Amino acid sequence: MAVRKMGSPSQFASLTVIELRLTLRAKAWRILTWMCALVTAAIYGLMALKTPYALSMQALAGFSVRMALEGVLLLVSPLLVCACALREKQAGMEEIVLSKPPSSPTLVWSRFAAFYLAAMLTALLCGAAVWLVQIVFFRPDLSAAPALRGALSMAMPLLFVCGFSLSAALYTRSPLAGGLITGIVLGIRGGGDSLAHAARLTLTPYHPAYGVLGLAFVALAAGVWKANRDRGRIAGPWVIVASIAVCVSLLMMRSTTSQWYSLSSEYRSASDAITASKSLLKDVRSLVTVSGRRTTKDPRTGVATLFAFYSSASPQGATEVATLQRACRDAVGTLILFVPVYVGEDPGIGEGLARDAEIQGDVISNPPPDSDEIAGLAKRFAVDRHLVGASAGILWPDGAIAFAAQILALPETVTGRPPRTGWNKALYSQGLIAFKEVAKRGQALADAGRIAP
Amino acid sequence: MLGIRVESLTKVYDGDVRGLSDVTLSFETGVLGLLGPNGSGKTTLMRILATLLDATSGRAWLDDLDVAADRAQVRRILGYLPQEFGLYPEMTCREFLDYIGLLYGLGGAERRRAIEETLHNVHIDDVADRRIKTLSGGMKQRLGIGQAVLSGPRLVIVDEPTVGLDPEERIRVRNLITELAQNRVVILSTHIVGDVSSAAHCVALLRKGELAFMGTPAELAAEARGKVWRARVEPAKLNELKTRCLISGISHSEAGLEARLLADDPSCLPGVLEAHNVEPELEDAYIWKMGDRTLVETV
Repeated sequence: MAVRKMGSPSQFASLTVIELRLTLRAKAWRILTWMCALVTAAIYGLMALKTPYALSMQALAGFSVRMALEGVLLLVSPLLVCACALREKQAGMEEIVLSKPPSSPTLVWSRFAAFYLAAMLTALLCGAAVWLVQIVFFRPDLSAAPALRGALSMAMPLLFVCGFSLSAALYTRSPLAGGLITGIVLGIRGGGDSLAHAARLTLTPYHPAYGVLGLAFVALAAGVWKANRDRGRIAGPWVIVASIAVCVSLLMMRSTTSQWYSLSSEYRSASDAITASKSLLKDVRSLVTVSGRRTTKDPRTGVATLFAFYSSASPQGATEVATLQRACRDAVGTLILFVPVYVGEDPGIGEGLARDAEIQGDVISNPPPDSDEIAGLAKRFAVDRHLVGASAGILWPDGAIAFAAQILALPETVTGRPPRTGWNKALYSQGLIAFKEVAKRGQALADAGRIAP
Repeated sequence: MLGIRVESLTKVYDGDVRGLSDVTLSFETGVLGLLGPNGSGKTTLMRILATLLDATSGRAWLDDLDVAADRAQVRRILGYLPQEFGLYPEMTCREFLDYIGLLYGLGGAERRRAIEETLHNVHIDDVADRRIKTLSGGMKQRLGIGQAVLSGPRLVIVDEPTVGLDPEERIRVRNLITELAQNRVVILSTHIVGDVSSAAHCVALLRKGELAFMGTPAELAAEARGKVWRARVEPAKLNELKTRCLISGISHSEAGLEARLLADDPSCLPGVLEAHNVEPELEDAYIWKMGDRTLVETV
């Protein structure tokens, strides 16, 4: 009799590889992959057409990949996962597989792992497609990291979508369950404004919570399948695992809610609430960053503070902020407190844009316009709600505010294609001069303030 | 006890449809032919033994393992080929067997060796690297049998493995089953009597969910001894004759129309001109035991 290692990690890994191979060989999956890659590359190309004045194109790569994958992969993958989840039924192999010894959890988890890996491979291929467009059309921007990061940002949403789809398919025994899940994802995207934040799986702060929830669905499906196959009660350990995962997920959602968003039904972020107090601008540390922490910026008195705003509506602004930040650092060091601010609903996108554009340090999270009215810090600095590129405003040491102005004065007609490396250099040079002036004036105001407090 | 043992197995489906009624049998090594018309309970019995279906009452054991209670262990010593099955068309034969080997938890080297042996044993080593979608029906059937025996199971269940195959392929599959049965139990379910007569060591006859007979093929054939007649019949009275007795074959000869009749005494039957008692074949016995005239057409 053969030596058998049931449910061992090696059996699980080998089954995952075979399931992955089968999934990738499926025609529908291949079509989806190529379609996603084409759409992603096209969106990136369109972004270049829409923003011919972008200083850097690699900084937009991750954003493009993420938007495209949210729009296509998250919608189509439930259909494919549900179809592939029942592949042995469709092929007429169900009884053969079910009469074999592996436990139901081994079968379910290996299948889930395969679908998830296949979806992630699709995402990475899309990232590669964008990078290819970038190195062919937008030299000298060569870095692949932004596109790769954009693809990897799908890791958690895909964990949820794949887990939810697989469990729905196994439970309903119908590939049509995929249509239902696609409808739900579509509804969440379309009706986002009227949904509670915690119900939006595409909102970055909730990604880990939804990822864990996806795993909970798989654990539950494994338990239910085992019970059906072995004619027993629902497998206890897997129900416990699923319950714990659901609890962890809910706790994460709860903690995210208090970290970024208030519990009020109206949209108000934590930073927005703080903005309402007059003391806000004297204590930069009370602001929330895009990564969900309080800012670590030193609220030194006696220096001017420059707030540079960018948004997801015109993501190329992040590069302008990064260039200004570099100029500020090189020109005056710490004589000016440079504070990048992201204006947008999803702080994760702001964080991604900052990383891709190479903005250093903390970025403050500012909520998007609410009912066409700008909110938070942006409101204090009268930032245009249709933020084009980046804007900057100054808080002088005496408490006076210089309202925000657009950083780049754009010409009426622009020829050629981005990236505008020449403009970038010019912005940096002018920044060096301007920051020296700002630092000097800030120092003067501070000195005056000390004499007459 | 090694082998299979079934005690008072009953399966009642929804709507009070009886799939099996109080079936009791036991068998050790070799091929057990499960014979019976469609709907006689063959597949129900096999699915219960393959842990895919629950019996309403009664118990079954495979090598002392209770089929209902020790499902996981039973699956380890079981190879199953259902009546209607498909295989992943995009896989090659070798990949498919590799997948099955993994399901059985075979380790790397052992799995490779088992695959090569199986490919050879089921005579598909020449198409081992071809995609399954390019194989003929017979090759797929042999691959199906291959997956059932890959791990060297103690019990192999094959449900109607020769249906839809051409005669040459059918003989090949039958021989393969005989070869496989040398050191294990093979349950061969079929409604084709020829398959059982050439491959089975023992026959279990199922009729409407009940066990109608269990014994060797020779014993089954002997059940009809003295009741099989070769008779010359009047063509005009053939239809009437069909309603009065079982007919296992009709042929034309120089002397006229000849029929193979199953009857205690053919002389009192309408249209029988002349009758000689002949040695029964398995098919005759099968029809005799079933005692249902509609079966004649099936056979």
